[in-house]
Amino acid sequence: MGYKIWFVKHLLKEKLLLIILITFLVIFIGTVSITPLFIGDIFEELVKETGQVTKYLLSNGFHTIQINSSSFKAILITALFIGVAGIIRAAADFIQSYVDEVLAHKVTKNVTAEFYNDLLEKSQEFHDRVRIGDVMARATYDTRQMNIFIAPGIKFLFEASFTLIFSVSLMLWISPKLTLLLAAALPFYIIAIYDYNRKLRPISKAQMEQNGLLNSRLQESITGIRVIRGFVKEKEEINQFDIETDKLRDINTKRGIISARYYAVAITVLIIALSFLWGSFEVTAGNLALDELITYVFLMMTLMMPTWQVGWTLTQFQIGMAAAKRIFEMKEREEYVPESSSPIDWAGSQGTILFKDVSFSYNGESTRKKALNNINLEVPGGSTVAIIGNPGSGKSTLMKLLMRLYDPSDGTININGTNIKEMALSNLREHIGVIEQEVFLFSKSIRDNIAFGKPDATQEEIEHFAELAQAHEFIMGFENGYDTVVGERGVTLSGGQKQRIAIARALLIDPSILILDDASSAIDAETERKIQTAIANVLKNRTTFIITHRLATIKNADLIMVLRNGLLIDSGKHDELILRNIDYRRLFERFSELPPMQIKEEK
Amino acid sequence: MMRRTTGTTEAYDRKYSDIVLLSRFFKYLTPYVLMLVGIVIGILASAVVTIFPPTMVQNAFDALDAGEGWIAVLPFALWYLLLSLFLWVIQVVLGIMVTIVTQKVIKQIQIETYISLQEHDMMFFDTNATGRIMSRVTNDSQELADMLNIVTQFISNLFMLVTVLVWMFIVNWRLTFITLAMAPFVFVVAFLFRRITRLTTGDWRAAIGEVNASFQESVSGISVAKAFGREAKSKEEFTVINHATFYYAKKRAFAVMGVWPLMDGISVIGVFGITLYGSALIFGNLASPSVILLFLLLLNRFLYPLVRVASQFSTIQSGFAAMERIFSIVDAKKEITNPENPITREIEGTIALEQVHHQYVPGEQVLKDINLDIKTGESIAVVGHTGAGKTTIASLLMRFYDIYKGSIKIDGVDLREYDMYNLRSQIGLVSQDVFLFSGTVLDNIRYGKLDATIDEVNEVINVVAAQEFIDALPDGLNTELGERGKGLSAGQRQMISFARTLLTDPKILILDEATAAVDAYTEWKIQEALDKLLANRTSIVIAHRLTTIKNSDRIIVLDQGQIVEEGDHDSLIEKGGLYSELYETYFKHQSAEWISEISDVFAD
Repeated sequence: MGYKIWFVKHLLKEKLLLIILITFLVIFIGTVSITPLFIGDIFEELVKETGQVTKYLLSNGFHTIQINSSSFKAILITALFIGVAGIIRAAADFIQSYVDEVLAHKVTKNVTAEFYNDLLEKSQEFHDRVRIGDVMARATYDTRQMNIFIAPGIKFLFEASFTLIFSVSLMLWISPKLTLLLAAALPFYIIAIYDYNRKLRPISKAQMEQNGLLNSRLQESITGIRVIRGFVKEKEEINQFDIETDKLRDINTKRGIISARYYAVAITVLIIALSFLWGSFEVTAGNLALDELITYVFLMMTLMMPTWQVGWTLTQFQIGMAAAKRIFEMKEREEYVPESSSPIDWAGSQGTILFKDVSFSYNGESTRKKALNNINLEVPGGSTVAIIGNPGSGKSTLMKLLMRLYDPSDGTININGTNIKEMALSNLREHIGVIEQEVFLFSKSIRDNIAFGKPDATQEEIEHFAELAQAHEFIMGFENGYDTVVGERGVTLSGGQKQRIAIARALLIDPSILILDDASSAIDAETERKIQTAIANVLKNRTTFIITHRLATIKNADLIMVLRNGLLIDSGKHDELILRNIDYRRLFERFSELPPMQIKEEK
Repeated sequence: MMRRTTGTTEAYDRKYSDIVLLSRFFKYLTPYVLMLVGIVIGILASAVVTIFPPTMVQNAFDALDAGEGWIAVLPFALWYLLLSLFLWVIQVVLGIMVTIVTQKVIKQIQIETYISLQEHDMMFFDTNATGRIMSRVTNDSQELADMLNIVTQFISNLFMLVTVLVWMFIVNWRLTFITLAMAPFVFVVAFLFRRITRLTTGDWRAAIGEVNASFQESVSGISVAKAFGREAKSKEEFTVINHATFYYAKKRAFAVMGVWPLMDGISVIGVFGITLYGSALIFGNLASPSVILLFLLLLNRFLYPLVRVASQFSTIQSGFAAMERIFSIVDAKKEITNPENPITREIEGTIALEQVHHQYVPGEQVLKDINLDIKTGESIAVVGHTGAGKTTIASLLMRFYDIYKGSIKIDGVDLREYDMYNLRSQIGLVSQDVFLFSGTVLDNIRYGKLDATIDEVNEVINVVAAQEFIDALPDGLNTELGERGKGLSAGQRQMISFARTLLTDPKILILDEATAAVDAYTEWKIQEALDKLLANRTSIVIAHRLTTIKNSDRIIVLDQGQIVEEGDHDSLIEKGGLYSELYETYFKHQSAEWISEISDVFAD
């Protein structure tokens, strides 16, 4: 399915709105086109009345107005027709404009929702790669451009075509001969529009891209201002910005010039003048009445608007379609974690985990080094597992595989004997609690953040887990307690505070498996001890993975996984590893800064 | 049409008089005086010419009506054509000139705003949200430049109005009064339209803001939502917000879409009035039928400029508001500037803090009476609780902020007398909060020294022990990083940031928890490599790891903005003061004793 079909489908979904729109458009255009006929009638009466002599009199004196009653009545009636047609026209215009706006906003709303829902289902790999600024540009600017194309774009499009049909039919009826002129001009119109379109297309695309580029550059230079200052790169940044704004300026100027030079309008002007001339000839020759010529000229003038509208709509069509394409393309990238068609439910409360020949490389590339290479390990349910290793050794990746944020390129992961690929994603993730390395809190209240995984949690539950996570005390220290909104009005949380909220958030969902990716060393020993106690209490008989540098945690783990560049080089208890694994011993020495001898003695 | 009607105000916003705003706006225009003259001439010409094509039609009609035949019409038709084409050409040239000037002005305003941003105090960025600053550079500059377009149109419409009106009076003053009778209706409608639009647009914009914020947050926090299986609930929440926008958009459309049909209705009354009264005049021999024709043709050239003049007035007002917002950001007060005769020289690296006091918020002292001498090549560790003022010292040395009282001297010369750019380039700061730019790993490491050779780059990569993980990246050094280094772990980002600073070969190196997210083993490796590198450099290390602290020449203990203790590890422990307390709470759990102690927790 192409993006054009996708867009049309979205439009066709709103059939009722489209039908109302078209109905009232037809009424609107009909009344617009008919007005010149009435005007012609009036002139017929006037010409009849005043005869051939209408020497213009500029009279300053006030003369008694003598009214020829029959002619005046006819004029009055025609004028009333104009009035009634005008009121119908205004009403129809209002309804069709309003309906078109509603249609546009409805489609925008649907597209935004579809885009949003789709993004939530996209794999983590997709989200790792994509830039938020880029996604946002598509969600905001591009949807807005589509919106503008629909209203007033589609309205304009219909208006222009209906006006053309109505006016041209009337013109044909009045004088088929004169209408020939319009037919002769048709190729020129087509050339003008085609030419315009061709020039505009690449510019619209370039403009959108440059705009996005400029925005992300600006954003980076504001968020990265400290680095820019620190390295004294202000001049370079300004130069770069200067170049980018120059590019955008040139593109915009070019676009403006192309728009201004749209010459279809000039063709219409030419046709009007020629029609008038030829019309006069016909009037002189007695083939056409004078009032008919006036009607004809007024009809020609109703074509001015469509000529302009076609140009405008084409511009917006280019932009709107480019926007639709951008949204559609991002949406269509097939990057989902595949869901099993007949999912098996989670069984058992403990998580016994089996990693079997698990390998993984990012972006599915096997040419480069693998992020994880042939991991084999069984983790008994209820054990505490410490994962250690150098940066980039694959600690976090392994945990992401467990949560199925990614799927392994080779091998399988089983929980309680079931391959996690055969479970429903939501079912799997419900049972896994995670405390991320870099805690992300939503700008909602602390209460909502803790209850994120269980929105219907009671206040007691929330407070209970906050207490367990040693967060209750500092939360109560805020003026608004649990209602404090994160990140608002100077309420910034320290790394340690964020981590404790994340712990409460993870504990609240009562997970069977807990993953703690621990990067922060910002928590002092006392708090740490409390948190350790909390975790130890709550997660008895649950499987816990801890990625950590904390020696106490490592030493007390039931199982230690030592990773190095994607390989599981050893696993076991501290006492075993310290004896048999040189790497581990060296690691532990450095950690604790104790000479090897001392550790041995301690043991 | 889509004018912003409610702008958010910031602390730096200020009021300018209209005169000041205008004179500044015209300053942007002065380079294009010739173009502007051309634009004004174009406007005048098109306003005058606009009345002629309908008059030609009127004359032709008269000629035909008098039975003069088509030869008599020929000159009128020719004139109609020429004048209309002339009008079109003027409009094209006007459009092009306005576009060129507008785009140049936008660019000028954007770059000036951007330059001012680069010069603003760090405090400015601490207190203003990125999104809002961005909106001023992009949206407001656009709005300001659009003003040029609108002013052009406004003047053009005004001129057209006047010429059409004058011409109408000359042709037939009685009919002109009938036409003018519509003006009050037009003004009432335009006024109401302005009010209603402002109200409904405000709601709509706020709703859009909600949708955007919710969207952005969902995408930023996607991994959390996934981890908690919260997608369904998020979708539900988003549906509600998304629907609210639709609701306000509908409401606004109802109000906004009403205005043109209403104007159309008024114009129909005009046609009705002109034909009726005109006919009466004709019967009274006070006008000819062709006059009615002319008036009908002129009607739209009178009515639409009138509507536009009435509604553009409010647009111009919002343009003024945009101007005020832009100038406010450009003019926001800068405290930290270069001295008149800045000193530029290679520094040695002796640092002296003399009675340094600092506060970010008046009355809240962050540093109190700090006195500290650091010799060239010395390595100082700064420790203390969160909020003790450690990072502030680093920021002050970089002159990100100016000190409140006292002085900081480098090589015996006050910091403020140096050229700040020259000074900063000789001080390397590695922050805990790492910012990487989108681009390749290599681009990021080279950021401070664009011409660094690959050997130099490899050298610093080795120092920070990053070789291994960089090799494991899909394209090694040429791997593209996402926004803020997305795709790397916190520890990896810190290593790259560290390498980036080392590459610039600074005389003074400040490490502010530079390796907090790096594991202890890697950190130890970095430490070992660093020892050689730091031999003849002054270094200030803010740290939480025992290893690093013990390795330094001297330990400074900060508490609530004051230096409370100074010395080496052993003597400070012996002293039993704050350091030994800190050791107990922060550092001790990196030692063996602590490990056995906490074992009890898990032993149960």
